[in-house]
Formats: sequence, C-alpha cells, structure tokens
Amino acid sequence: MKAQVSRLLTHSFVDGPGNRAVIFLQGCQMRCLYCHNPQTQALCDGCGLCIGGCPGEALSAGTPLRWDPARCQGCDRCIAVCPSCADPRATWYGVGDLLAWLRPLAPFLSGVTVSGGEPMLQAEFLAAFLPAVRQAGLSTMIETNGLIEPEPLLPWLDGALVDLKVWDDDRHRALTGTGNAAVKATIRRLAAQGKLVEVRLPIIAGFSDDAAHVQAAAGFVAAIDPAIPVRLLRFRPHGTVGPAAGWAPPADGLIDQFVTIARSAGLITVTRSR
Amino acid sequence: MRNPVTMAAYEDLKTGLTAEKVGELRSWVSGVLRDTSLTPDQRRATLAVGAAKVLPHLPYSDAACQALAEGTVCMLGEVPLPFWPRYTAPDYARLLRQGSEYLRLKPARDLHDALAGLLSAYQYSATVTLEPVWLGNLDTLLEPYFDSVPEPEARRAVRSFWTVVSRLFPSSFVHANIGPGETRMGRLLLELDRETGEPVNTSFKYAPGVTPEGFAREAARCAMGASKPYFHNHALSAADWGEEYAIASCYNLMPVGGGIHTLVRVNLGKVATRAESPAHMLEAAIPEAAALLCEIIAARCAFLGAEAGFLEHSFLVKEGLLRPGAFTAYAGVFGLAEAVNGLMGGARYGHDAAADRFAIDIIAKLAECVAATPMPFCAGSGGKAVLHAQVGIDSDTGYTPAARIPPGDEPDLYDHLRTVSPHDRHFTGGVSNIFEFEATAADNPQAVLDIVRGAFSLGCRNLALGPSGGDLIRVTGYLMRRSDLTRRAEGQIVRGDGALFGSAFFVNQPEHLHRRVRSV
Repeated sequence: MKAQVSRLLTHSFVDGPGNRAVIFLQGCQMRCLYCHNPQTQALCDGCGLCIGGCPGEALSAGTPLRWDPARCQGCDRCIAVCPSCADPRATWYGVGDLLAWLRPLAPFLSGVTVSGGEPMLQAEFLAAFLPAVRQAGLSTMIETNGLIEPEPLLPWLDGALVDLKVWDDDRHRALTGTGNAAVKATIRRLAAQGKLVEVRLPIIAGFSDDAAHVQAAAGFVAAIDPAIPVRLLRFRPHGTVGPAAGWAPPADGLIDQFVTIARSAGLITVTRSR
Repeated sequence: MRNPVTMAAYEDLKTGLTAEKVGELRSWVSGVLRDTSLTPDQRRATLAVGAAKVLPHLPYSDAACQALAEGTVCMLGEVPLPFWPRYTAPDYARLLRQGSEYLRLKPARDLHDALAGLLSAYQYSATVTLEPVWLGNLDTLLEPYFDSVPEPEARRAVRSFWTVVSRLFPSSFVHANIGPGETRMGRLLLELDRETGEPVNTSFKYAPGVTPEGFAREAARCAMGASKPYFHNHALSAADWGEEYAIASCYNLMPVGGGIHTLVRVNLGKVATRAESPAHMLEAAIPEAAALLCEIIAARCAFLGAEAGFLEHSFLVKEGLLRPGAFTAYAGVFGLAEAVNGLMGGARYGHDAAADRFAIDIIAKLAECVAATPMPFCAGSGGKAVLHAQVGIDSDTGYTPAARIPPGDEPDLYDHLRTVSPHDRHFTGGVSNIFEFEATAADNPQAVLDIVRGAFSLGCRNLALGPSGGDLIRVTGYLMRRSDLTRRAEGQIVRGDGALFGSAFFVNQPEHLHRRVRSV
C-alpha cells in the first residue's frame, strides 16, 4: 500500500508538540481561496500541460506524469501552470519507504505529523503506517481539515490538530467550498477522546477577522473543554495564488485583541502566529 | 579599530625586547594609556600583558620557534613566561564548608554567608583574564542554604548576587554551571538568567533520563531567549572527568579543584599546507605538528609547575581549594575546515561524506599523538594534555574556529550535527557548536530539547543554542551584547572584555554575524 506524498519535512517546531517530521500528503477536498499549498489539492491527471515548460525536461507523459528528480531544478513552473492544482512531482511512498526515511531522523524527534493536503483522504494507508511509527518509539499526529472523522485511526493516533477555518457556515462555504458542520463534529469527537492537540483559527480579512467570529469559535471550543489549546493563525499571502495573493494580512494588533477575546471566552491556552 | 591586547610589535621569541625596539614599545605604551575607548582597568590589563612580553619565550627548539613564527602553532593571550594558571576551578563547596583562613571567612551558616563567601573568593581565583572563569555549580552549591532564610529573601539575595557578579566581573569568560539534577536554586538561576540577560556564561549539565524534562524545558526556554545556557552532555563529560567537573570560561572542562596551566593551539589549516595529500597529512604533517605543540605545552607546564611558584604559594592550594594533582593543559585545535577543504580536492567539510571521514581521521590522529605524549604537571588528566576545540580570536582570519563548519556554508541541521558531533569525544577539554533558530522556536522548548537529545545520541558534547537576532550574540565561545557592537564601533567605552574581543572579532570576521538561521 502506498501514499501519494507532496513533500517530506525533516524537522518542524510548529506542527504539534516537540520537534516533528512532517509528511504532507497529496489531495484535499476543500478548495480554500487562501490555500498556502494549492498544488497539494488534486491528484495529477496526466494532462501534460506542464511538460513543455519544464526547463530541466524532468517531466514526461503518463498518468500520473513521470518525474525525474535528478533533472528537476525545483523551479515550480509545473505547479504554476497546472489547471487542476496538482503536482506532477508528488511521489508514491510505501510504509517501508517512509520508515526508512524516518529512521535516521528518529533520535531528533518527538514524533511524526501527517499533514496535507488532507491526510484522512489516505486513511487506509495511515492505518498501516501509524502503528509502525508508534513501534519506532515516535508519537503520531495528523493535521486535518476535520471533514472526515479520524475514528478508525484513533488507536494509533496520539493527537490531531484541527483547523476551524471560519465559524459561520456560509462564510466557511464561501472560503473553502464546503460547510463546517462536520468539522465541528470532528472537534467534539476528538476532544471527547482526549486526542485534540490544538484547534487553529485562521484570521483572514473579510472572513474571520471580526470579534464576533472569534468570540463564537473560541466559545465553542471553551464549552467543550477550556484546556484545549487554540492558536490564532494570522493570514499571510505568501504561497497563495489567485485573488488571495493580494489580500492583506490582518493587523498585528488585531490578532492580539483576538487573543484577549479568546481568553475571555474561557480558553486557558491561546497562542498566535506572527 | 584594534584589539587592545594585540601582541606588541617589539616581541621577539628568542630575545624579547631589543634595544632598537624600545622606541616602539614606548609609543605603544603611550598609545594604550591614552586610549579613551578603554576603561582604566582595560588599559592597565593591556599594559600588564605588554610588560610581560618584553621577556624572551622559554627556550623552545628551533623547529618549535619556527612553528610559532609561522603561526602553525600559536598562543592565545598568554605571555612568554606564564606565571599563573590560565584557568582555575576552585572547590567552592569546600570553601563554604570549611571557610578560609586566608580570607578570614568562617564556614557559611546561611545563604548570606554563602553568597558573601563566594563573592569574596571569586576575586582571588587567579586566571588569565584576572577574573574568575568559574563560579561553581551554583545550584547545588547554594541549594543547601535555600531554606536558611525566608524564600522571598532568598530570591532577593540571589538576584543581588547575580547583579553583583555581572557588574563586578563584566567578563564574558565568567561561567556558572547548573544541573544535572533539578533544584529550586537551579530554577531560580535559570529564571534570573533569562530575565536579566547579562553576558555571564552559563552551562546546563543535561543528562536525558536523569534531568527532569520540565527542568530541562526551562533551560531550553532560557536558551531561546538569552542564547544560553549551553546544553552540556553530562554523561559524556562525567565519564571523562568524574562527576565533579567544571565548565569554565568559554566551555572549558577541568576537574573541580583543578585548573589548566596553559593553552597552546595548532592551526590545522596551516598544518595542511605542509601536507602533500590526505594520507601525508595523517602520517607525517599531524604527528610533526603535534610534537611541536606538545613540546611547547610541556615547557610551559614545567615552568608553571616548577618555577613560577603559583601552586606552592597560593592560599587556594594551601587550603585545599585547588589541588596541584587536578591540573592539566590544553592542546587547542582550530582550522579543521580549511585543512579538510584544502586537501580534499573539491569535497567540502560538512557536505561530502569523504571530507567528513577525513576530518574525523584528522582529529583522531591528533588526539592519538597528544595522548601518547607525557606531560609534566598534568596529573589532572592522567599526565597528558587534553584536546580543546579552540574558537579563537579576531586575528585568526581565514581559519574557522575549532572543528566547526564555516558560517555561511552550514548544511541542514541534522547533517551539521552528524558532521561535527563525532569529534566531540576527543575534545575532552571542551567544544561547542553554535545553532541559531528562528525566534519562534521559543514557543516550543520541547522541540529544542529533542534536537539536543538527538545531538547527544551522536556523541555531541556541548551545544550553543539561541534565537536569531537576539540581544545577546554568541561570538565564538562567549557572549556579547549586540548593542555593544555599535557602541564599540563608535569608539565608545564598553563594559567587559567580551564586548572588546567580540567587536574586534566581528569586524574582522563579519560572516559570523550571519550564521545559518534554522527554520522552525
């Protein structure tokens, strides 16, 4: 069994507790306007539009396309021209491949976080991979958009970090293409199981940068358990495409105000990104 | 701008000051005593070094003199005839227990006695910087007195002590140790250290599995704010020195109650220019250089031990606070990167496996040569000198400190640690490598600890970790305030030798201000 992987990161201090290796899986059901890794949204359908523009001639026909890492210059032109938000360089890895990648990193790690894309879209692979990660003495976490409950993975999952992108369902739909009822259910479910590591609230102008929104989202989490850590993520245009690339980050002071609001909603641990 | 202790031009190895150089000496003295950018103490210390340099060096062999003249072997701020040890680590626990006849101190009965006793004794510790290089394992030293006064009073007293230490000894080579066990005093010291942000050096003796993780996380949090403490691999150094060891000055190891007579350095980059090939470097150039290095160290140890009379006459020895049998000497090493890169025909240290293997062979060979040479007055380490990873001064331009990877050429974090850590078991006398992280690493101290634990598992002895752009910058082995860089550049007076040396270092080697910042 294999997973399609967009990117492997050998160390991260921001994807759960301690230092973690991060595996970004390819494919997501949401289509967030502000997505910072839009090339991870879809699987390559082999249309071939990117082949001609590749300066290193690293791409060739096939479904998905064939990619030669030795010739790749890392210029990202392929993902810039992809009409379906895919990445011809995404690579299939087996459980053994990823374990081999992890082995020399393990002494430096608290654990592994599987992110994306949306990791739950490849839950079957995770059901095979996560127990092996545990076996290697590392903790297991996922970063999920919350649309799919990670119920079947819970025996091998130490925790999950969930994005609650917008509190209001209509705005959530406008921003991501889907409603958020399932996300809220996943948050409740994970909290009940003691596996909710962090809820992230992106602060995006026009969608989630008002006090009422923060109040509602923070109140929702606090009502479940005031000890659940919440992190406010200040929108940054870096990495986004389309109109979002022109959106301004919310003012720094505004995020601080929201931290105060979230705390007064009852939350004990509220942090923010810079 | 010049370094105030730059060797005066009149120095001649074999004759010392000659008649025709007297004029130069006079004008140098005249310049120093009028130097408005130095405090009176700094001027006096500079003049004292200059005065001691009018004498010829010890009678080294011609080959050794040539090595000194070429800089293949060199010293660091030491005068031709050493008359007191370079570093000492007095047994302060004993001082507090027994008091001191010479200092007219009674055994300490409470925290105030203990702090006053330490502050009194520090003044007399007799080192190359004229200031104490070791303050003791302050947590275990003071913990027994914590309950002798009410807690708020204890906290205030220790805070005042820390203020006095940093103001009385504004040297960046003053070093306090904490750990490996958790104590209330240890926590208090970490808290004060983070809050006050003075350039006093601190080391955290860390033993994963023994040191409580919560305590270690406090140390990591402190490091991500104040660029200290060092994370020191306690298991490794306790195996080399026994449980009672001191980390002094930059990160220099010695037994408690012992000291280091002298430090003489070998510039591996220059040694490599004499080698025709990597094999020739290992078989001939290193053994030859090591022999000259050891000859000079031995002569200096013999002079200190037999002629200078420090060990027989110091009250520190008479009262058992220093033990002659716990002294040794350092064989300093720098310029490994240049040696490797110069001989490997394109393969780079830190980037190519073959280069890294050659680097390991070089250090192992040097360690073998030094360990095979008997050294007088070095019973503190079995009658042999110990290897010290030497990070150098402003004038070492063109040569990378110790076994480090040149700033600007650093590989990824793990590869970097994998490259440098295998050397550390040979550096019994101390070593460190510097890693700067994005400032937000402070939000995740556990991650910092994970990196430390991983490094220790590779044999790493000591890590300097800090935030990029912090107020305190790790220069080489010591700290200075970033703001003192500007102040010094404008010719203003700065407090402390760290600011003086550090400013000169960064002027000559600005690349060290631009170390690779590790992403989080």
